Amino acid sequence: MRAAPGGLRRTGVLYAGGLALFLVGAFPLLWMLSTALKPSSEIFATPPTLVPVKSTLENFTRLFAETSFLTYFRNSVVVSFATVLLTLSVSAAGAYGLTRCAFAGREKVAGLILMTYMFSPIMIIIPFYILVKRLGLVNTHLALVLSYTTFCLPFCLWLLRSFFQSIPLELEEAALVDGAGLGRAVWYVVLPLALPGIIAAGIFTFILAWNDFLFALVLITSEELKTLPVGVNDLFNATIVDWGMIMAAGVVITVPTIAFFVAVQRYLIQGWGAGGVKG
Amino acid sequence: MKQRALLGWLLLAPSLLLIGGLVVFPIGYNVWLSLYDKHAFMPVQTFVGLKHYVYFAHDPEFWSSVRYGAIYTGSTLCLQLVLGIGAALLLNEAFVGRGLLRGVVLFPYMIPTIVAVILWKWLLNDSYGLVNHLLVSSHLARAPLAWLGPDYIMWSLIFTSVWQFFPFVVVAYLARLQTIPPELYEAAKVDGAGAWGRFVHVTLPQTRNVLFVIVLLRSIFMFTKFDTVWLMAGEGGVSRYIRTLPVYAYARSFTYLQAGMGAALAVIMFAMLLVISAVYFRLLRDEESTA
Amino acid sequence: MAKRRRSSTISRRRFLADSVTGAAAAAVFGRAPAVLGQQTRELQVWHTEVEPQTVKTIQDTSIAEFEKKFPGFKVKQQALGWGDLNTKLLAALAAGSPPDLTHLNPFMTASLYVKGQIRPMDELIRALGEKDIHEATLKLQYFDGKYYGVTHAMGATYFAERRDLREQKGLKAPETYEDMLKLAAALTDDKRYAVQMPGEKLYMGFVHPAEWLAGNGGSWVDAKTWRPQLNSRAMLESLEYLQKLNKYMPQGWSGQKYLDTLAALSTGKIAMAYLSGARTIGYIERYAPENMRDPEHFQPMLRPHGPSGKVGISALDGENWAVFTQSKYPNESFEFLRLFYKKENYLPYCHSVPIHLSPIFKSMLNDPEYLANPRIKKWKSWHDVMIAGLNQQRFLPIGFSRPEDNLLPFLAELDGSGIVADMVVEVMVGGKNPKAEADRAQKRAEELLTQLGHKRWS
Repeated sequence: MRAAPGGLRRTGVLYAGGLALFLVGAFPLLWMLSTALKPSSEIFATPPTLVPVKSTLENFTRLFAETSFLTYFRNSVVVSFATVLLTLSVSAAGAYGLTRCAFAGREKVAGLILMTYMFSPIMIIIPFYILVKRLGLVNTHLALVLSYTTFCLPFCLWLLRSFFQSIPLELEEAALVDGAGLGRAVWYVVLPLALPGIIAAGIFTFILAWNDFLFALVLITSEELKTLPVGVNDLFNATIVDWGMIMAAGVVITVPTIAFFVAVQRYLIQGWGAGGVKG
Repeated sequence: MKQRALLGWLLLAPSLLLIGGLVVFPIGYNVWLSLYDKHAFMPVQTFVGLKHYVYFAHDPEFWSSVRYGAIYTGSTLCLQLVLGIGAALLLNEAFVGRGLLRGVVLFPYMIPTIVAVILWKWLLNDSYGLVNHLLVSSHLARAPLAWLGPDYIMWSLIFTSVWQFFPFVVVAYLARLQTIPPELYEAAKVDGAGAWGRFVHVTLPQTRNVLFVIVLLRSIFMFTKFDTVWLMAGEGGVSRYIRTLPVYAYARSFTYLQAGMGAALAVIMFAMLLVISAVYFRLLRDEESTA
Repeated sequence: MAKRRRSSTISRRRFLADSVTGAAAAAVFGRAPAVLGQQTRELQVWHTEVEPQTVKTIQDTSIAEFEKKFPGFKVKQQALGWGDLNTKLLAALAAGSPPDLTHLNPFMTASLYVKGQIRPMDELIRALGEKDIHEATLKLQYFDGKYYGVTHAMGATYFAERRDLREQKGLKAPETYEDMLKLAAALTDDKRYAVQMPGEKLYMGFVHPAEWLAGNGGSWVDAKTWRPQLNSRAMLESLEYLQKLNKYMPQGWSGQKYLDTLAALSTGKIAMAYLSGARTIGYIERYAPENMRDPEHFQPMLRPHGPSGKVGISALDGENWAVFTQSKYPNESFEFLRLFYKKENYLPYCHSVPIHLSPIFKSMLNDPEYLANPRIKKWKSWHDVMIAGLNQQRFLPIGFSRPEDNLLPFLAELDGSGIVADMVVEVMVGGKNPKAEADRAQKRAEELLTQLGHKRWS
């Protein structure tokens, strides 16, 4: 790590900025946690207190006892992981094809992929539902996985393509010369080098799948198959809006994403840098 | 190398199949539907050609949505850039706790939109919200401000959106920053450039390409953003003050129950983005290739 | 070192990939029956009562009995907020596969009827007892001589006031707009506002305007020509009254929701909630100071009337069940409803959210077993105000400005367009000129009705 070059003023600015950034990122979530730990009587107190006067876990226990939140949690995990798996496989294959294989129309395909984002998802929902109905996939997790995969694909293709482009062809050719088939060359040479990009794509996909609300609302009709965002929304629509429980739900939803991210974040930034957009 | 080309198409096939089936079909459906009059309750429609497009050209609500959409997209884009680039520059420096901070700064992007909106609506509430409490008790404001009322709702929305999405800019920009060779900065310092000078003459040119992509992607995403806007105030009394194009398109289809007109609005949005992107590419691509 | 890291990375990745594949396979194939086709048949029932105890009650009573009676069937109930139900319903209708049985708002049912989307249910109504169903809801879905819907439960809405505060000031319950303004002025001080209206399009742009029109001698449209009457005298007088009332409401009211107003009432920030159903009781029991959780402090009030009207009208909440023409199992849907309304099932259903879910049967409203519910006993005055109001015909279904509005096929679209909500917010919060805004809304409404093909005026 480079030593911070001179100047007390510079260090001061750095730390002030760092503190501000920390507050921006973390404070609202800390407030959410704080509210989740307050009993009903304290939630509407004025002046509001940051650290609960009387902290309690009752919002969390109520959340798990009175609602099907554990089920929603399990469903979200299953759907998100399945989506990440499918998206990474399909986009890695596609990105590899776009990069390594010369064929007519290759550049056009890249542009087309971007265009698919220019249509607001809200307008896609009804024809999408019709299509899913025709395929007989209404009210299945598979439908969700397919729709999330489809939305992440363009971005992941674009991202992975730029990573693959930065991996020298010579490495692969060396493996081929050594007698490895194309599959092994890719698996053992290309993919590890592109791992950071793959992880970045994986995180983007996970977040999108974990956090989607609209498609889960329309495509899923059974209580047992609902995902977390729909569950939170139900709480918000309940007769008595239980702010404590809602904030507890928010905490429950956010923690795994953050944990997942903290586990892999090294690769993310390092990877973005190494592979990076050409320039 | 025909075998190679075939392999290329094969590898790309699953992606094209999924995107084709699950995105191109809905887009095509909307384009088709925009030429018809269809009530959302009915499975039948009547052909009306370009009637909806002509109608919207004269619809004051349409132009008002374009205006709100432009304000929303422009403001969130600029603020995301400023905040994101600033944060990335900061996180590029070496200091204790940088690793932790890099993680923390990404929190807003991780949480579901509905949680983010609920959280900020709770913080900005004019009766129980913490923000007003802090403003009043520190004498920055005389009375609680109606952050979710008509005067400030657009700003609250912009603020929430910037908070939610600026980490995207941070990640992309920081990744690129980390690969800029330090020698370039040394050389600039030797030439007598101060911090600002180094930014303008070294950082900006080096990050031009990633900025190009970031601006393009963020603009597209913010222009078509629906859930943050809708969840914040879509069904509220103040909805007219944040009625951007995606919200208006949704309303026409789902609440006015005029599906054909909603589809036309979606197509108009798509066309607008296409044109603007084409112009953007044309203008800036030339510069990029020489970088 | 790089090599070691790579191989550990690969083996880690492989492990992750394998476990994920396993999870994914389990997820996909665990759901396979749904994809491949099941033995049991599913009856899709959608409704808007999201309270967990209501959902559980339906499951344990009506659904349990139905599934015993029809062994090949499973009933899938979905409880959704109204906005979500609307979104899903539209997607389902577009795909040609609506649920078998659903709640609809009365103002939507006419629209669906006119398009031939719902089935008649005369047999069911006769089985339930035409004479026993309360007149306030019986004929709401009576089109061209047949019944097309039956209300699931009634819930009156009104003002909820801090009666102790009003009596302290020695004022009587307001009967006219002028009375209301005087009361609001008296109840506003630096610690509290007099009243708060929900800042939601549905209420300020549809439910309440219908009440204002009804209570001031007006109506949404002309009875014969269906021409909108948004700039009629009835509306203009109401807008002027509301512009004045706005002074006594919290500044940010238009950004807050209906449930926020109930919380504000319970915690003493306002003296009257403009809109209040029996849900308010739940809020009072949870958030009001302990010594105030009773009808002595919180009481319902019926609405005042305007200068051009004779009696104030409040909205009566009550979605109706409807069976779609395209329903897969219509006969079973009607059977389900028969079981739903059986006293052993219907009574616990109504008790799951007392007073908010009041039975549609006159016999049950007076039934001692029904009235013995502790919450109904404690808050009996709320129940009595509703009964009195029903008898005096002070209620109209949500969104109706006259009883005959049930025949208008465009109320859902008018509500959804937000035309009236825009007008109200510009006048009340924006302080704009009522006549100008009303004229603009009138123009937009005429245009909308024309686009929908309902123009009968010239």
